[in-house]
Amino acid sequence: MSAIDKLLAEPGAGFEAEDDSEAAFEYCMQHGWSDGLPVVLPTTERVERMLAYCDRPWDQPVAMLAPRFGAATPLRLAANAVMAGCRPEYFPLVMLAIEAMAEEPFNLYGIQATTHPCAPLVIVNGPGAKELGMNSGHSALGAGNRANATIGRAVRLSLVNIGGAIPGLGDMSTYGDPTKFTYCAAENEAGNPWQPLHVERGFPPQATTVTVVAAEPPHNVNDHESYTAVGLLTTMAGTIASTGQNNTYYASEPVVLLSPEHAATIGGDGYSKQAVKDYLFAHARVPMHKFSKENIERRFRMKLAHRYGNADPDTLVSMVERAEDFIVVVIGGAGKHSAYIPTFGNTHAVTRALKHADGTLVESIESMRGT
Amino acid sequence: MATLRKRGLRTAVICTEPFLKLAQAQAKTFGVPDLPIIMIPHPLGGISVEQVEGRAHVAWPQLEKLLTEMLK
Amino acid sequence: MTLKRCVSPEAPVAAAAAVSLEKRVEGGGIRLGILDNSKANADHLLQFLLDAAGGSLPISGTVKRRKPAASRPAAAEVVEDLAREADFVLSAMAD
Repeated sequence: MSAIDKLLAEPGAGFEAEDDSEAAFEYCMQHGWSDGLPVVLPTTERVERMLAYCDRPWDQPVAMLAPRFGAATPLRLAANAVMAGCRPEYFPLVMLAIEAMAEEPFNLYGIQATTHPCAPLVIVNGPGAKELGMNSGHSALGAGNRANATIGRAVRLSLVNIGGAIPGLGDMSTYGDPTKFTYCAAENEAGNPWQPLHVERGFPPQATTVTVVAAEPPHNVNDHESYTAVGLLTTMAGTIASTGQNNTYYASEPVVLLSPEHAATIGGDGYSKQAVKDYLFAHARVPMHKFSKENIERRFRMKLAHRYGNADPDTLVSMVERAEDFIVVVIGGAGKHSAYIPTFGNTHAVTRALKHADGTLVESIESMRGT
Repeated sequence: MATLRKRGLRTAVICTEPFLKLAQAQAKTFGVPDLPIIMIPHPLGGISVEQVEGRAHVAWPQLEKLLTEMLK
Repeated sequence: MTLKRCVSPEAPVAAAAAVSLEKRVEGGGIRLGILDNSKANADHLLQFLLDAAGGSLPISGTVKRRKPAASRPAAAEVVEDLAREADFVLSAMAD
Protein backbone atom coordinates (compact mmCIF):
# COMPACT_ATOMS: atom_id res chain seq x y z
CA MET A 1 0.00 0.00 0.00
CA SER A 2 1.45 3.42 -0.94
CA ALA A 3 1.87 6.27 1.52
CA ILE A 4 -1.11 8.11 0.10
CA ASP A 5 -3.31 5.01 0.17
CA LYS A 6 -2.60 4.63 3.89
CA LEU A 7 -3.72 8.21 4.50
CA LEU A 8 -6.87 7.69 2.46
CA ALA A 9 -7.86 4.78 4.68
CA GLU A 10 -9.26 7.33 7.13
CA PRO A 11 -13.04 7.77 6.62
CA GLY A 12 -13.82 10.79 4.46
CA ALA A 13 -10.22 11.31 3.38
CA GLY A 14 -10.83 10.05 -0.13
CA PHE A 15 -13.51 9.47 -2.69
CA GLU A 16 -13.94 7.93 -6.12
CA ALA A 17 -14.99 9.77 -9.22
CA GLU A 18 -14.83 9.61 -12.99
CA ASP A 19 -11.71 11.35 -14.32
CA ASP A 20 -13.54 13.21 -17.04
CA SER A 21 -13.36 17.01 -17.05
CA GLU A 22 -17.10 17.55 -17.18
CA ALA A 23 -17.92 14.79 -14.70
CA ALA A 24 -15.24 16.04 -12.31
CA PHE A 25 -16.64 19.57 -12.43
CA GLU A 26 -20.16 18.36 -11.74
CA TYR A 27 -19.03 16.12 -8.91
CA CYS A 28 -17.03 18.86 -7.19
CA MET A 29 -19.80 21.43 -7.66
CA GLN A 30 -22.33 19.08 -6.10
CA HIS A 31 -20.07 18.67 -3.09
CA GLY A 32 -19.53 22.42 -2.76
CA TRP A 33 -15.82 22.18 -3.52
CA SER A 34 -15.63 24.46 -6.54
CA ASP A 35 -15.66 28.26 -6.77
CA GLY A 36 -18.09 27.99 -9.65
CA LEU A 37 -15.42 27.36 -12.28
CA PRO A 38 -14.18 24.00 -13.61
CA VAL A 39 -11.68 22.19 -11.43
CA VAL A 40 -9.16 19.44 -12.06
CA LEU A 41 -10.04 16.19 -10.34
CA PRO A 42 -7.65 15.57 -7.41
CA THR A 43 -6.74 11.99 -8.25
CA THR A 44 -4.15 10.31 -6.09
CA GLU A 45 -1.67 10.41 -8.98
CA ARG A 46 -2.06 14.18 -9.40
CA VAL A 47 -1.93 14.82 -5.67
CA GLU A 48 1.22 12.71 -5.34
CA ARG A 49 2.91 14.71 -8.09
CA MET A 50 2.01 17.88 -6.17
CA LEU A 51 3.35 16.42 -2.91
CA ALA A 52 6.71 15.70 -4.55
CA TYR A 53 7.48 19.32 -3.63
CA CYS A 54 6.53 18.86 0.02
CA ASP A 55 9.21 17.90 2.53
CA ARG A 56 6.85 17.70 5.52
CA PRO A 57 4.71 14.80 6.73
CA TRP A 58 1.67 14.77 4.50
CA ASP A 59 -0.83 14.32 7.31
CA GLN A 60 0.54 16.88 9.77
CA PRO A 61 -1.41 20.16 9.67
CA VAL A 62 0.56 23.25 8.70
CA ALA A 63 -2.32 25.38 9.96
CA MET A 64 -5.83 25.19 11.38
CA LEU A 65 -8.05 27.32 9.17
CA ALA A 66 -10.89 29.36 10.59
CA PRO A 67 -13.86 29.52 10.84
CA ARG A 68 -14.19 25.75 10.68
CA PHE A 69 -10.69 25.31 12.17
CA GLY A 70 -10.15 22.55 9.68
CA ALA A 71 -6.74 20.91 9.64
CA ALA A 72 -4.79 22.12 6.59
CA THR A 73 -2.59 19.11 5.98
CA PRO A 74 -0.27 19.04 2.98
CA LEU A 75 -2.47 16.24 1.62
CA ARG A 76 -5.62 18.38 1.63
CA LEU A 77 -3.78 21.48 0.43
CA ALA A 78 -2.33 19.46 -2.44
CA ALA A 79 -5.84 18.31 -3.41
CA ASN A 80 -6.96 21.95 -3.55
CA ALA A 81 -3.85 22.91 -5.53
CA VAL A 82 -4.61 20.19 -8.09
CA MET A 83 -8.20 21.39 -8.35
CA ALA A 84 -7.02 24.96 -8.88
CA GLY A 85 -4.84 23.90 -11.80
CA CYS A 86 -1.45 24.37 -10.13
CA ARG A 87 1.67 22.83 -11.52
CA PRO A 88 3.44 20.80 -8.82
CA GLU A 89 6.26 23.31 -8.48
CA TYR A 90 3.75 25.99 -7.40
CA PHE A 91 2.77 23.98 -4.33
CA PRO A 92 5.44 25.27 -1.90
CA LEU A 93 4.11 28.81 -2.34
CA VAL A 94 0.53 27.65 -1.77
CA MET A 95 1.54 26.06 1.52
CA LEU A 96 3.64 29.07 2.50
CA ALA A 97 0.74 31.47 1.88
CA ILE A 98 -1.60 29.32 3.99
CA GLU A 99 0.94 29.22 6.83
CA ALA A 100 1.30 32.99 6.67
CA MET A 101 -2.46 33.53 6.84
CA ALA A 102 -2.76 31.34 9.90
CA GLU A 103 -0.45 33.60 11.91
CA GLU A 104 -2.29 35.50 14.61
CA PRO A 105 -1.65 39.06 13.40
CA PHE A 106 -3.34 38.33 10.09
CA ASN A 107 -6.64 37.50 11.84
CA LEU A 108 -7.82 34.86 9.39
CA TYR A 109 -10.94 34.21 11.44
CA GLY A 110 -12.07 37.80 11.02
CA ILE A 111 -11.30 37.91 7.33
CA GLN A 112 -13.01 34.63 6.49
CA ALA A 113 -16.33 35.30 8.19
CA THR A 114 -16.71 39.04 7.78
CA THR A 115 -19.31 40.94 5.80
CA HIS A 116 -16.43 43.13 4.54
CA PRO A 117 -15.63 42.16 0.95
CA CYS A 118 -11.95 41.26 1.13
CA ALA A 119 -9.70 38.34 0.28
CA PRO A 120 -6.08 37.48 0.97
CA LEU A 121 -3.78 39.16 -1.52
CA VAL A 122 -0.58 37.14 -1.99
CA ILE A 123 2.47 39.18 -3.06
CA VAL A 124 5.48 37.07 -4.04
CA ASN A 125 9.06 38.31 -3.86
CA GLY A 126 12.46 36.81 -4.46
CA PRO A 127 13.97 34.44 -7.02
CA GLY A 128 11.16 31.91 -6.76
CA ALA A 129 8.80 34.27 -8.55
CA LYS A 130 10.97 34.30 -11.65
CA GLU A 131 11.69 30.58 -11.36
CA LEU A 132 7.96 29.85 -11.53
CA GLY A 133 7.40 32.30 -14.36
CA MET A 134 5.13 34.51 -12.29
CA ASN A 135 3.87 37.77 -13.73
CA SER A 136 4.81 41.06 -12.10
CA GLY A 137 4.13 43.27 -15.12
CA HIS A 138 1.18 43.88 -17.43
CA SER A 139 -1.98 42.25 -16.05
CA ALA A 140 -0.12 40.82 -13.07
CA LEU A 141 -3.32 41.05 -11.03
CA GLY A 142 -5.41 40.07 -14.01
CA ALA A 143 -5.76 37.00 -16.18
CA GLY A 144 -3.34 35.03 -18.30
CA ASN A 145 -0.53 33.79 -16.07
CA ARG A 146 -0.95 30.25 -14.80
CA ALA A 147 1.21 30.65 -11.67
CA ASN A 148 -0.49 33.88 -10.56
CA ALA A 149 -3.95 32.55 -11.29
CA THR A 150 -3.66 29.08 -9.82
CA ILE A 151 -1.58 29.82 -6.72
CA GLY A 152 -4.17 32.43 -5.75
CA ARG A 153 -6.99 30.05 -6.62
CA ALA A 154 -5.48 27.18 -4.64
CA VAL A 155 -5.28 29.44 -1.61
CA ARG A 156 -8.91 30.45 -2.04
CA LEU A 157 -10.19 26.91 -2.54
CA SER A 158 -8.28 25.80 0.55
CA LEU A 159 -9.80 28.58 2.62
CA VAL A 160 -13.25 27.46 1.51
CA ASN A 161 -12.88 23.69 1.55
CA ILE A 162 -10.68 23.37 4.62
CA GLY A 163 -11.50 26.59 6.46
CA GLY A 164 -15.23 26.54 5.78
CA ALA A 165 -15.47 30.01 4.21
CA ILE A 166 -18.52 28.95 2.25
CA PRO A 167 -20.43 31.91 0.80
CA GLY A 168 -23.44 32.66 2.99
CA LEU A 169 -22.51 30.11 5.65
CA GLY A 170 -18.96 30.84 6.74
CA ASP A 171 -18.08 33.70 4.39
CA MET A 172 -20.58 36.46 5.05
CA SER A 173 -19.15 38.95 2.56
CA THR A 174 -22.01 41.27 1.70
CA TYR A 175 -21.53 41.25 -2.07
CA GLY A 176 -18.33 39.23 -2.43
CA ASP A 177 -15.69 40.48 -4.83
CA PRO A 178 -13.82 39.12 -7.89
CA THR A 179 -10.61 38.69 -5.89
CA LYS A 180 -12.26 35.80 -4.09
CA PHE A 181 -11.45 33.71 -7.16
CA THR A 182 -7.73 34.51 -7.09
CA TYR A 183 -5.53 37.37 -5.91
CA CYS A 184 -1.84 36.79 -6.39
CA ALA A 185 1.04 38.52 -8.16
CA ALA A 186 4.78 38.96 -7.98
CA GLU A 187 6.28 42.34 -7.18
CA ASN A 188 8.03 44.02 -10.09
CA GLU A 189 11.39 44.16 -8.36
CA ALA A 190 13.22 45.28 -11.49
CA GLY A 191 10.85 48.23 -11.77
CA ASN A 192 11.13 49.13 -8.10
CA PRO A 193 13.48 52.08 -7.45
CA TRP A 194 13.66 51.14 -3.76
CA GLN A 195 14.11 47.96 -1.79
CA PRO A 196 11.78 45.12 -2.73
CA LEU A 197 8.95 44.57 -0.28
CA HIS A 198 10.48 41.50 1.37
CA VAL A 199 13.82 43.21 1.97
CA GLU A 200 12.03 46.20 3.48
CA ARG A 201 10.23 43.77 5.77
CA GLY A 202 13.49 42.24 6.99
CA PHE A 203 14.20 39.31 4.69
CA PRO A 204 17.39 38.73 2.68
CA PRO A 205 17.12 39.48 -1.05
CA GLN A 206 17.77 35.85 -1.95
CA ALA A 207 14.75 34.66 0.04
CA THR A 208 11.57 33.74 -1.80
CA THR A 209 8.71 35.14 0.24
CA VAL A 210 4.98 35.62 0.28
CA THR A 211 3.33 38.63 1.91
CA VAL A 212 -0.35 38.13 2.62
CA VAL A 213 -2.68 41.09 3.00
CA ALA A 214 -6.40 40.95 3.80
CA ALA A 215 -7.24 43.20 0.91
CA GLU A 216 -10.16 44.76 -0.86
CA PRO A 217 -9.94 44.84 -4.65
CA PRO A 218 -7.61 47.53 -6.01
CA HIS A 219 -8.93 51.05 -6.54
CA ASN A 220 -7.25 52.59 -9.56
CA VAL A 221 -5.25 55.79 -9.31
CA ASN A 222 -5.14 57.35 -12.75
CA ASP A 223 -2.58 60.09 -13.31
CA HIS A 224 -1.25 60.77 -16.80
CA GLU A 225 -0.17 64.35 -16.22
CA SER A 226 1.88 64.64 -13.04
CA TYR A 227 5.61 64.46 -13.62
CA THR A 228 6.73 65.16 -10.08
CA ALA A 229 6.60 63.07 -6.92
CA VAL A 230 4.40 65.66 -5.23
CA GLY A 231 2.06 65.65 -8.20
CA LEU A 232 1.62 61.89 -8.22
CA LEU A 233 1.38 61.64 -4.46
CA THR A 234 -1.23 64.40 -4.46
CA THR A 235 -3.37 62.26 -6.76
CA MET A 236 -2.71 59.17 -4.67
CA ALA A 237 -3.53 60.99 -1.42
CA GLY A 238 -6.74 62.29 -2.90
CA THR A 239 -7.78 58.77 -3.86
CA ILE A 240 -6.89 57.36 -0.48
CA ALA A 241 -8.81 60.03 1.43
CA SER A 242 -12.32 58.67 1.60
CA THR A 243 -15.04 58.21 4.16
CA GLY A 244 -15.91 54.57 3.52
CA GLN A 245 -12.93 52.50 4.55
CA ASN A 246 -12.26 50.49 7.66
CA ASN A 247 -8.59 51.44 7.82
CA THR A 248 -9.71 54.74 9.29
CA TYR A 249 -11.06 53.03 12.39
CA TYR A 250 -8.69 50.12 13.00
CA ALA A 251 -4.92 49.66 13.13
CA SER A 252 -4.24 48.08 9.76
CA GLU A 253 -1.96 48.25 6.72
CA PRO A 254 -3.45 49.27 3.38
CA VAL A 255 -1.42 48.85 0.22
CA VAL A 256 -0.12 51.57 -2.07
CA LEU A 257 0.52 49.80 -5.37
CA LEU A 258 2.69 51.88 -7.68
CA SER A 259 3.16 51.17 -11.35
CA PRO A 260 6.84 51.14 -12.39
CA GLU A 261 6.42 54.46 -14.23
CA HIS A 262 4.85 56.20 -11.26
CA ALA A 263 7.46 54.65 -8.95
CA ALA A 264 10.28 55.83 -11.23
CA THR A 265 8.95 59.41 -11.18
CA ILE A 266 8.57 59.43 -7.42
CA GLY A 267 11.93 57.75 -6.78
CA GLY A 268 13.61 59.89 -9.41
CA ASP A 269 12.47 62.98 -7.50
CA GLY A 270 14.48 61.78 -4.51
CA TYR A 271 11.59 60.32 -2.52
CA SER A 272 12.32 57.22 -0.46
CA LYS A 273 9.61 54.71 0.43
CA GLN A 274 9.39 56.26 3.88
CA ALA A 275 9.02 59.72 2.34
CA VAL A 276 6.14 58.36 0.26
CA LYS A 277 4.47 57.00 3.38
CA ASP A 278 5.07 60.23 5.30
CA TYR A 279 3.57 62.31 2.50
CA LEU A 280 0.49 60.14 2.22
CA PHE A 281 0.01 60.06 5.98
CA ALA A 282 0.14 63.84 6.13
CA HIS A 283 -2.02 64.52 3.08
CA ALA A 284 -4.49 61.66 2.78
CA ARG A 285 -6.92 63.08 5.30
CA VAL A 286 -10.61 63.84 5.45
CA PRO A 287 -12.15 66.58 7.61
CA MET A 288 -14.28 64.93 10.27
CA HIS A 289 -17.35 66.85 9.21
CA LYS A 290 -17.29 65.00 5.87
CA PHE A 291 -18.22 61.79 7.69
CA SER A 292 -21.85 61.08 8.48
CA LYS A 293 -23.37 62.40 11.68
CA GLU A 294 -23.87 58.84 12.90
CA ASN A 295 -20.25 57.86 12.25
CA ILE A 296 -19.03 60.98 14.02
CA GLU A 297 -21.21 60.30 17.06
CA ARG A 298 -20.80 56.56 17.28
CA ARG A 299 -17.35 55.86 15.89
CA PHE A 300 -15.16 58.90 16.31
CA ARG A 301 -16.61 60.33 19.51
CA MET A 302 -17.28 57.04 21.28
CA LYS A 303 -15.17 54.19 19.94
CA LEU A 304 -12.19 56.37 19.05
CA ALA A 305 -12.69 58.73 21.95
CA HIS A 306 -8.98 58.64 22.80
CA ARG A 307 -8.20 60.25 19.43
CA TYR A 308 -11.33 62.14 18.47
CA GLY A 309 -13.45 62.40 21.57
CA ASN A 310 -13.27 66.19 21.73
CA ALA A 311 -11.92 66.87 18.25
CA ASP A 312 -13.12 69.86 16.29
CA PRO A 313 -15.35 68.98 13.29
CA ASP A 314 -12.65 70.38 10.99
CA THR A 315 -10.05 67.97 12.39
CA LEU A 316 -8.30 66.18 9.55
CA VAL A 317 -8.81 62.45 10.07
CA SER A 318 -5.93 60.28 8.89
CA MET A 319 -6.65 57.11 6.98
CA VAL A 320 -4.11 55.08 8.96
CA GLU A 321 -2.70 55.35 12.48
CA ARG A 322 0.92 55.79 11.42
CA ALA A 323 2.79 56.52 8.20
CA GLU A 324 4.50 53.13 8.53
CA ASP A 325 1.14 51.41 8.17
CA PHE A 326 1.16 52.00 4.42
CA ILE A 327 2.62 49.07 2.50
CA VAL A 328 4.29 50.30 -0.70
CA VAL A 329 4.75 47.80 -3.50
CA VAL A 330 5.55 48.07 -7.23
CA ILE A 331 3.47 45.93 -9.58
CA GLY A 332 2.55 46.33 -13.23
CA GLY A 333 3.84 47.09 -16.67
CA ALA A 334 3.90 50.25 -18.75
CA GLY A 335 1.20 52.81 -17.99
CA LYS A 336 0.25 55.64 -15.69
CA HIS A 337 -2.04 53.68 -13.39
CA SER A 338 -1.32 52.85 -9.79
CA ALA A 339 -3.74 51.61 -7.14
CA TYR A 340 -4.80 51.97 -3.57
CA ILE A 341 -5.87 48.80 -1.81
CA PRO A 342 -7.69 49.24 1.51
CA THR A 343 -7.94 46.25 3.81
CA PHE A 344 -10.08 44.55 6.39
CA GLY A 345 -10.12 46.52 9.62
CA ASN A 346 -8.31 44.51 12.23
CA THR A 347 -5.44 42.79 10.44
CA HIS A 348 -1.73 43.02 9.77
CA ALA A 349 0.17 41.80 6.75
CA VAL A 350 2.40 38.78 7.31
CA THR A 351 5.53 37.89 5.34
CA ARG A 352 7.06 34.43 5.40
CA ALA A 353 10.09 33.01 3.62
CA LEU A 354 10.24 29.68 1.86
CA LYS A 355 12.41 27.30 3.84
CA HIS A 356 13.36 23.66 3.77
CA ALA A 357 12.21 21.43 6.62
CA ASP A 358 15.58 22.00 8.30
CA GLY A 359 14.94 25.73 8.42
CA THR A 360 17.37 26.80 5.70
CA LEU A 361 16.23 29.22 3.04
CA VAL A 362 15.17 27.65 -0.22
CA GLU A 363 17.48 28.78 -2.99
CA SER A 364 15.51 27.21 -5.79
CA ILE A 365 12.03 25.74 -5.70
CA GLU A 366 13.21 22.89 -7.91
CA SER A 367 15.59 21.89 -5.10
CA MET A 368 12.50 21.07 -3.02
CA ARG A 369 11.44 18.32 -5.35
CA GLY A 370 11.85 14.94 -3.73
CA THR A 371 12.53 11.75 -5.60
CA MET B 1 -18.31 33.03 25.02
CA ALA B 2 -17.31 29.40 24.73
CA THR B 3 -14.47 30.08 27.14
CA LEU B 4 -16.88 31.53 29.70
CA ARG B 5 -19.22 28.61 29.23
CA LYS B 6 -16.39 26.22 29.93
CA ARG B 7 -15.72 28.16 33.13
CA GLY B 8 -19.24 27.29 34.22
CA LEU B 9 -21.08 30.49 33.34
CA ARG B 10 -24.33 30.58 31.45
CA THR B 11 -23.97 32.53 28.25
CA ALA B 12 -26.08 33.57 25.28
CA VAL B 13 -25.37 35.38 22.06
CA ILE B 14 -27.69 37.66 20.15
CA CYS B 15 -27.85 36.96 16.46
CA THR B 16 -29.74 38.03 13.37
CA GLU B 17 -31.13 35.54 10.86
CA PRO B 18 -28.46 35.80 8.09
CA PHE B 19 -25.81 34.86 10.66
CA LEU B 20 -27.64 32.03 12.41
CA LYS B 21 -25.96 29.18 10.55
CA LEU B 22 -22.52 30.69 11.15
CA ALA B 23 -23.33 31.12 14.84
CA GLN B 24 -24.51 27.52 15.14
CA ALA B 25 -21.45 26.20 13.30
CA GLN B 26 -19.12 28.23 15.48
CA ALA B 27 -20.86 27.08 18.64
CA LYS B 28 -20.33 23.49 17.56
CA THR B 29 -16.69 24.10 16.63
CA PHE B 30 -15.96 25.66 20.01
CA GLY B 31 -17.60 22.88 21.99
CA VAL B 32 -20.83 24.60 22.97
CA PRO B 33 -23.34 23.22 20.47
CA ASP B 34 -26.32 24.07 22.66
CA LEU B 35 -25.23 27.69 23.23
CA PRO B 36 -28.47 29.67 23.50
CA ILE B 37 -28.90 31.99 20.54
CA ILE B 38 -31.30 34.90 20.95
CA MET B 39 -32.73 35.92 17.58
CA ILE B 40 -33.61 39.46 16.62
CA PRO B 41 -34.65 40.96 13.27
CA HIS B 42 -31.88 41.91 10.85
CA PRO B 43 -30.08 44.30 10.74
CA LEU B 44 -28.72 45.62 14.00
CA GLY B 45 -26.24 48.03 12.43
CA GLY B 46 -27.29 51.12 10.55
CA ILE B 47 -30.59 51.64 12.38
CA SER B 48 -31.73 54.29 14.85
CA VAL B 49 -31.61 53.87 18.60
CA GLU B 50 -35.42 53.73 18.61
CA GLN B 51 -35.28 50.80 16.22
CA VAL B 52 -32.63 49.15 18.41
CA GLU B 53 -35.06 49.43 21.30
CA GLY B 54 -37.56 47.54 19.15
CA ARG B 55 -34.97 44.79 18.68
CA ALA B 56 -34.52 44.69 22.45
CA HIS B 57 -38.27 44.10 22.87
CA VAL B 58 -37.91 41.03 20.65
CA ALA B 59 -34.83 39.79 22.51
CA TRP B 60 -36.11 40.36 26.02
CA PRO B 61 -38.64 37.48 26.30
CA GLN B 62 -35.97 35.06 25.09
CA LEU B 63 -33.43 36.41 27.58
CA GLU B 64 -35.99 36.52 30.37
CA LYS B 65 -36.71 32.83 29.86
CA LEU B 66 -33.01 31.97 30.11
CA LEU B 67 -32.49 34.08 33.21
CA THR B 68 -35.60 32.72 34.90
CA GLU B 69 -34.32 29.18 34.43
CA MET B 70 -31.31 30.09 36.55
CA LEU B 71 -33.56 30.97 39.46
CA LYS B 72 -35.27 27.59 39.67
CA MET C 1 -16.83 4.32 -16.75
CA THR C 2 -13.64 3.92 -14.74
CA LEU C 3 -13.58 5.52 -11.32
CA LYS C 4 -10.35 6.97 -9.99
CA ARG C 5 -9.32 7.17 -6.35
CA CYS C 6 -9.15 10.83 -5.29
CA VAL C 7 -8.15 12.92 -2.28
CA SER C 8 -10.87 14.94 -0.58
CA PRO C 9 -10.08 18.68 -0.50
CA GLU C 10 -12.30 19.15 2.53
CA ALA C 11 -11.53 19.04 6.23
CA PRO C 12 -14.20 17.60 8.51
CA VAL C 13 -15.91 20.02 10.87
CA ALA C 14 -13.91 20.11 14.08
CA ALA C 15 -16.31 19.68 16.97
CA ALA C 16 -14.86 20.02 20.43
CA ALA C 17 -16.37 17.94 23.24
CA ALA C 18 -19.60 19.52 24.51
CA VAL C 19 -19.57 21.31 27.85
CA SER C 20 -22.45 20.81 30.22
CA LEU C 21 -21.32 22.30 33.52
CA GLU C 22 -23.28 25.41 34.43
CA LYS C 23 -23.20 27.56 37.52
CA ARG C 24 -26.18 27.76 39.78
CA VAL C 25 -27.15 31.12 41.14
CA GLU C 26 -26.21 31.67 44.76
CA GLY C 27 -27.98 34.00 47.10
CA GLY C 28 -31.09 34.44 44.98
CA GLY C 29 -29.82 37.08 42.57
CA ILE C 30 -28.23 36.89 39.16
CA ARG C 31 -25.05 38.74 38.38
CA LEU C 32 -25.56 39.74 34.78
CA GLY C 33 -22.67 40.56 32.48
CA ILE C 34 -22.55 41.93 28.97
CA LEU C 35 -19.74 41.75 26.46
CA ASP C 36 -20.00 44.51 23.87
CA ASN C 37 -18.25 43.41 20.65
CA SER C 38 -18.05 46.99 19.36
CA LYS C 39 -20.30 46.32 16.37
CA ALA C 40 -22.76 49.05 15.54
CA ASN C 41 -25.56 49.33 18.11
CA ALA C 42 -24.41 46.33 20.16
CA ASP C 43 -23.85 48.67 23.10
CA HIS C 44 -27.34 50.17 22.90
CA LEU C 45 -29.02 46.77 22.52
CA LEU C 46 -27.19 45.25 25.45
CA GLN C 47 -27.94 48.25 27.66
CA PHE C 48 -31.66 48.05 26.84
CA LEU C 49 -31.60 44.41 27.88
CA LEU C 50 -29.68 45.15 31.08
CA ASP C 51 -32.32 47.74 31.94
CA ALA C 52 -35.15 45.31 31.17
CA ALA C 53 -33.57 42.62 33.34
CA GLY C 54 -32.99 45.02 36.22
CA GLY C 55 -36.60 46.12 36.07
CA SER C 56 -38.18 42.69 36.44
CA LEU C 57 -35.75 40.08 37.78
CA PRO C 58 -33.55 39.80 40.88
CA ILE C 59 -30.32 41.13 39.39
CA SER C 60 -27.77 41.36 42.18
CA GLY C 61 -25.07 42.98 40.06
CA THR C 62 -24.07 43.92 36.55
CA VAL C 63 -20.71 43.94 34.81
CA LYS C 64 -20.09 45.55 31.44
CA ARG C 65 -17.07 44.82 29.33
CA ARG C 66 -16.16 45.61 25.74
CA LYS C 67 -13.77 44.15 23.22
CA PRO C 68 -12.46 46.67 20.71
CA ALA C 69 -12.80 44.38 17.66
CA ALA C 70 -15.59 41.90 16.96
CA SER C 71 -13.30 39.56 15.06
CA ARG C 72 -10.73 39.09 17.83
CA PRO C 73 -11.28 37.12 21.06
CA ALA C 74 -11.82 39.17 24.20
CA ALA C 75 -8.66 39.98 26.12
CA ALA C 76 -7.78 37.53 28.86
CA GLU C 77 -8.42 40.09 31.59
CA VAL C 78 -11.89 40.80 30.17
CA VAL C 79 -12.69 37.10 30.27
CA GLU C 80 -11.37 36.89 33.85
CA ASP C 81 -13.48 39.84 34.95
CA LEU C 82 -16.62 38.32 33.51
CA ALA C 83 -15.86 34.86 34.87
CA ARG C 84 -15.32 36.27 38.33
CA GLU C 85 -18.10 38.83 38.49
CA ALA C 86 -20.97 37.36 36.46
CA ASP C 87 -23.27 34.34 36.50
CA PHE C 88 -24.69 34.98 33.03
CA VAL C 89 -22.98 36.77 30.15
CA LEU C 90 -24.74 38.12 27.11
CA SER C 91 -23.05 39.14 23.89
CA ALA C 92 -24.08 40.29 20.43
CA MET C 93 -22.62 37.95 17.85
CA ALA C 94 -23.42 39.06 14.38
CA ASP C 95 -25.44 41.69 12.64
